[in-house]
Amino acid sequence: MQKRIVRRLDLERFLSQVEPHPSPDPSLEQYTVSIDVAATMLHIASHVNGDVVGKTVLDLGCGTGRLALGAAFLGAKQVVGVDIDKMAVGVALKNSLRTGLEKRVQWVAGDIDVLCGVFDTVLQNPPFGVQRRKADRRFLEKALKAGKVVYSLHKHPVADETLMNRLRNGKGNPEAVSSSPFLTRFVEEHGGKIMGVYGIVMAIPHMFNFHKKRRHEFIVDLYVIQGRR
Amino acid sequence: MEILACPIDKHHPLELHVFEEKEEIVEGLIVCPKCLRWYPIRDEIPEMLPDNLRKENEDLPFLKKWKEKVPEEILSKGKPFTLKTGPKKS
Repeated sequence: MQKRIVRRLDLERFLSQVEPHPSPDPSLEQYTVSIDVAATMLHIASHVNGDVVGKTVLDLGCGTGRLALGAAFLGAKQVVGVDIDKMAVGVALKNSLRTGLEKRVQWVAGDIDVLCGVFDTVLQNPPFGVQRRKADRRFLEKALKAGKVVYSLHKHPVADETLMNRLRNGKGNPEAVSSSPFLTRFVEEHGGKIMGVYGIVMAIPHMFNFHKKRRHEFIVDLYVIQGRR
Repeated sequence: MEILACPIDKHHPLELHVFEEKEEIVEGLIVCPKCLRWYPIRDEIPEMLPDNLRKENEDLPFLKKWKEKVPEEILSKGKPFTLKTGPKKS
């Protein structure tokens, strides 16, 4: 289904209607992807690369469904969102009903391994493995198996104030950054190929006790990866 | 259904039993024919959780509610819980 190109502002307005998690669990690193980052990710996937409109999309670790619903809003043919947290998936379903997109999004409560199909596009904001080591690798491995192309958010490897300042001044525009040697090797070992990496500022509200500041800002790297399918 | 595998033994395809259907399947049961695990579909959401995240006090009442429509094998030998023997270690 071809739709008119959705303006970024309309996309952001839509994404703001998607409720975040009411009681996130620190051990699962459950923070909802910020509206800014979600919009940038969806913009690149959809408008730059043509990987959303009319495509089948999988959101691994979908939480309350911001990326999945964003993809449906932009015109994805069919979207599946999966998350191990039953409560988050319940909120995701409510979000899809409220935005009238329930027919095009299917939610599953479960581990990412319960999905066994192939999708055109995988969008994911996996746990970064800060609280639980290596959690992001499982997601990446699964994404490379399940998707022809993968959009995956990862922690920027170092604190880079200069880059942070440039991104802050860049009005939310992403900047091409280099890929981490570790992720490059990991992706190649699993049959994928990194097509591009973009640094974006993620700002999330204070949620967990170990977050000392009221608003927490950090750089995330959006990896665009060709899967092995 | 064509995209779901059993989270425990990765078996595919799984069996679907529909209990209540509107535009979507509202309530139903997904069964892994290999390990006999059953997973509820509640409020349109398939709950394919691993055993350690299952809650007996939520899942058994669901099985009870639909026991007329649940296959006998699942009622007696299903995992992780059955109506007859309660929790089962596997």
